[in-house]
Amino acid sequence: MEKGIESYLQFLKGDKTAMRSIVESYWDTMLLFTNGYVHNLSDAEDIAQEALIELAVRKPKLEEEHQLKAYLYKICRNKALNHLKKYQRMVGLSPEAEEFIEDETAQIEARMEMKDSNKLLHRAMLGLQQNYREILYLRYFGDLSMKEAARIMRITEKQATAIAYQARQQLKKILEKEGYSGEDL
Amino acid sequence: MKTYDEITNSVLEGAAVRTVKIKRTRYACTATAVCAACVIGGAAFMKLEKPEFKPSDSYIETSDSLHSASDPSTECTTETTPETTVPTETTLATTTSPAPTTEITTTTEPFTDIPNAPVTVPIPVFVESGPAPIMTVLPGETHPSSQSTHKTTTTQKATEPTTVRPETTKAPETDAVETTTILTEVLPVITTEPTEIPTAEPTEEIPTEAPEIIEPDPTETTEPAPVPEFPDERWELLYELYFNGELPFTLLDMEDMDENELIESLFPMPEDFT
Repeated sequence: MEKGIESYLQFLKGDKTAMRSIVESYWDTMLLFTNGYVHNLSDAEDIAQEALIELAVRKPKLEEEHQLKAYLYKICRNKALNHLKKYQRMVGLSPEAEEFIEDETAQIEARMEMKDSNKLLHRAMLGLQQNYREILYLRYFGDLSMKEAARIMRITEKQATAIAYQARQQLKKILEKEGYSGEDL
Repeated sequence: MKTYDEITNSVLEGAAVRTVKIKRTRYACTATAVCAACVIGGAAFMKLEKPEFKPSDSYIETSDSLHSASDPSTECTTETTPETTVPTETTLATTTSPAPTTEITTTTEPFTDIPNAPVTVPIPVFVESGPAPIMTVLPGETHPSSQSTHKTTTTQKATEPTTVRPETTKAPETDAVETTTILTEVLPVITTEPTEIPTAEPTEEIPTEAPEIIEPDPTETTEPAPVPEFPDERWELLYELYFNGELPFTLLDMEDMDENELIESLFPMPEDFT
């Protein structure tokens, strides 16, 4: 049994300190995943925090690691989409703000001990459209199966497979445009 | 960038606040639901109470519809007239004399329910009056029936529904009371005047009225026949006739009759009397 679900089961028994292990296991991936929707780390933090609060209050019956991951990602996605609906008007960020966000993202990636290839891949994914980014993130950063990713995205598994194929083709074009070849990834 | 500890504390605090909010929301919903149910129930109850049902109304409607169905030209206002109850009173007046008891009982039949009666109906008054208990009692003897009260009933219709209350000192003016004093000694004395009944005691009247009886003189044959001495057998016969209802006259006739006539009508003189 992995660390995340084990901590969650302890939390359900009343051990509140187990919440820290859960945060430590899923916070960074949730933050980057949510940031892919809202493109704002501050809002992404709020949304990710809301997702964890939701988990602590509702206390759903989860027995497997991937179930817990899927639950958290799904909450983050829904809240992020609601956030986007609520704030349709895109506010142009100042150069200072963009620079601040890049620094923050770099710190998160460093805390995740993300490999350079993954950092490059993560940055390239930010240029993809939303459904392509979702399926690739859930598949390669969330370590979820195609079935679970499809369930989170509320699509069928075949649709998820097709979207994942198209997402990889699009990502390849972006990387090639930036001068990276398939050997670098 | 937030540290994991800060994020953990924020998550735990947020979860606590959210739990309290959820509980408050649940309580508020419950209270609101209860209040709404009370309001709805109260409103429904008030709506149910508003139309006051009167049985008389429905009765009038029904009777009106019935009447209108039978005779549409006639306006029918059916109202139940209140039942008039004639006050009834039953008075039992008893005048008791020492030796012969004279009992006057006035009974008014109770008419409790007179439907549709704004008209006053005269109520017959039944007057039970004691007859003249005539009996012969030998001196020194006591007839067993003398202690009892014998009654005959004469009915009189009163024109007014009033209650006859005979006074103990005066006999009623109606001839419903007959008093007979039982003579303990010689001659029968029938008192026909009702005024004397309660006032005069029979034991006292006997000596006053006894001298009035003319004793027959067997020597004088030309004179009208004197009142013979009433033998005991005749008294007994009169007593039996009375109780068998075979008297040749009524008690009312006795007032107009002379004593001699009475006795003669009852017991004609034997031929060999003279």
